[in-house]
Amino acid sequence: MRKKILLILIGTILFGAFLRFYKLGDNGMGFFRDEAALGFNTWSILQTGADEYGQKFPIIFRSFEVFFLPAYVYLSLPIFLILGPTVFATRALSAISGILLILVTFFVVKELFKSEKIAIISAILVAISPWAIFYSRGAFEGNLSLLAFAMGVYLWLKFCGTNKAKFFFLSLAFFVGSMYSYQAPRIVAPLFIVVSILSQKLWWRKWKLWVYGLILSLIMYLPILTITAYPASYHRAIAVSILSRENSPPGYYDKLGDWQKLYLAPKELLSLYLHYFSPNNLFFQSDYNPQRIVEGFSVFYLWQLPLLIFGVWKFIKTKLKESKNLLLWIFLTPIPAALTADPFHTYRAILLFLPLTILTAVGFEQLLVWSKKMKGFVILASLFVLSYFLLFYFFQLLNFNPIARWRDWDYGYSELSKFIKSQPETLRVVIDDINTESYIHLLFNQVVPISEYQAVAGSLVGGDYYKNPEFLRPEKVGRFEFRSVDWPTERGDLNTLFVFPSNRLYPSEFSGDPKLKLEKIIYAPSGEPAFYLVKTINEN
Amino acid sequence: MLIWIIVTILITPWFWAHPVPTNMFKLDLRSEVQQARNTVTWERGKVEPSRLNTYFLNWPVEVVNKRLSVVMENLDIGNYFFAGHPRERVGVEERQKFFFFQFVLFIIGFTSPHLKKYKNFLIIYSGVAILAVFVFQWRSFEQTIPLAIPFVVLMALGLKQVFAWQKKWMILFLTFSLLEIAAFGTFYVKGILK
Repeated sequence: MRKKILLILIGTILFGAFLRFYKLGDNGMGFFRDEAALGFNTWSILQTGADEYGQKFPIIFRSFEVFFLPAYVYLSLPIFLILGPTVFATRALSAISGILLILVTFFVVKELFKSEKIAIISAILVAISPWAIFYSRGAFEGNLSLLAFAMGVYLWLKFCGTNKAKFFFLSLAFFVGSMYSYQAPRIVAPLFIVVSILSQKLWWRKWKLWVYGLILSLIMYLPILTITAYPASYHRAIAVSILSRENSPPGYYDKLGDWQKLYLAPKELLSLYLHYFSPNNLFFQSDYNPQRIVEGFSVFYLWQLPLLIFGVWKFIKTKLKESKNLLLWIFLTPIPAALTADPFHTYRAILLFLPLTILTAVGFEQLLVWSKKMKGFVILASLFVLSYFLLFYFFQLLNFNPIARWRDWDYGYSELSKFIKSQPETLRVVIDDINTESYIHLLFNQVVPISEYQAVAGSLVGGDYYKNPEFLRPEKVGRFEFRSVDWPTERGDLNTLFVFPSNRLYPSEFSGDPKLKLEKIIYAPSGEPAFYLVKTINEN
Repeated sequence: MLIWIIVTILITPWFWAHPVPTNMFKLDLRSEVQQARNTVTWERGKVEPSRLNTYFLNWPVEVVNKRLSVVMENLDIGNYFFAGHPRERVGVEERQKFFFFQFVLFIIGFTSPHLKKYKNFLIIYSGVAILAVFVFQWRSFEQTIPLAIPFVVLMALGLKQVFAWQKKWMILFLTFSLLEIAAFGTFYVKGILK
């Protein structure tokens, strides 16, 4: 590697690290319940060797009524050991994955295109891309799986280039690792390997190697295979799948009968799949879920659109030895996301964005080739545009998003927890929560004792931890309750602190009543109330 | 080539509805700028006062973004082949403009050896059309009909390619296409009857 390239790579990694760690513990929006679930279960494993249900070292974690894969929790243990149960510690593994991804991208691209120039441009683009920054700044296990998947691809390319078995087995180890981190690679990784093998000339001649690889993969995946028959292994995939949906595909006309599904269902699936390649989604409109939106930005910056077009053009023109692997990466990765009915789910398609970023880098390199005489000007202009958009992105992420997205990010539970801790330990606390999921914030902030919650939740779940995906969570643990409040009947309860999200109760419902006292209002970054904390006054 | 273009136009649902464009060149910059100013005032009132607000929250950015959103929605494949599914737009009637088999023709068109002949026309026309979309904010089924032309040319090139295929593949593709037209016809007729 040339010294200049090495220096730029180190600089890029350091800059990428800054973009990922800056205000990581306090993004101004809040700390989402899924993050809290990852963080609390890590802390709980560290403290008690069991998760929130008292299950000893689970293979798949039960969280709310879904199940998540275990790698993020177990790999976060050393971070929690050092930092304790903090928001920063919960998000740190994702941030570290995002930083390492910059390095891995460099090596993947170098292996693929045999060009250090394209490799370094790719690394820079990964460091500053909105999707890469966003998913590195929250506790997203998908980001960890992307790192493992990219590492798997790198070793796979090494194997294809050198034919050395050690790269093949190492590659499989990383692919299986990605399958331990997030649901999407459980479909994509096996497909990638199988199709890549089958597309090789005379693939059957290496049948022994493939069999050994299969055996090794099965051994590594054995823990999850042991619970394959239980809903824990497939419930999440089935629950969100378009195939298990009850309503009919769009365009269905009742009087025509079910035969039309033969036409409409594949059409719907195709429209969902192709949606992941829509420039509107990739460069402008972004995710359908407000929690994953940064106002005014999508997964890529708008200026990357022409670069992607140039990149695709150049890629088609260049006959690369391993181009099929990049194509497989691009065309297989949206499949899991397309199989769900949600339009443009950026998280489920997270594996797609890296190869597209690489094509953008190819496009930029082509632009430099075209502008030979004005190369310096193009680089300067690019740096200016890049800096403006990056600053704009962070401005929106840290200044505007907290105002627009605080409710989508569960803002206010940290302050709420502090307040509850300051109250007498005999006070009954009822949190008005239609989803009954706010308990995880109180567990994470150590308001509800772990052992107490584990005892109650464990007794409810019993031996059905992996088997029964139904609602098996306590709504009441000791003096804490998490449920929907029937205010007219409960407002007379003594010695109780009621916590209402501001969209659940009008102030007129409690003001003016001498038996009620508004103890505190927790304000959102927008200045609106996030929570009303209302205490009933003891008659004595 | 003309015959392939005519055939493509004849099998395109977009033209079946006889779209007559209205309000194609309407511009009301003054009210647009006023609207953008109002939005920016609201946004600036929400965030902490800072010098950066001037650079990132200003009415020119707002106006450009609004127009870009129209351009980008016109670049969405779903608007042409899936009646806007899965992200139906607000304020616009979503209708199927092309059949899905025409998407296949569109892709095949890119691989046509005759593409070179039409490359400059396609690039320049598309560029001008996109610029017009940016300026006049064409959104509706009727307004965006000029955008059909590059699609039709590429599909015609694709169709020409298909007819150069081996007979069995050509028949397979045509059968699939006819089935889709028949299915669409059924829905279309039922829709009219309803």
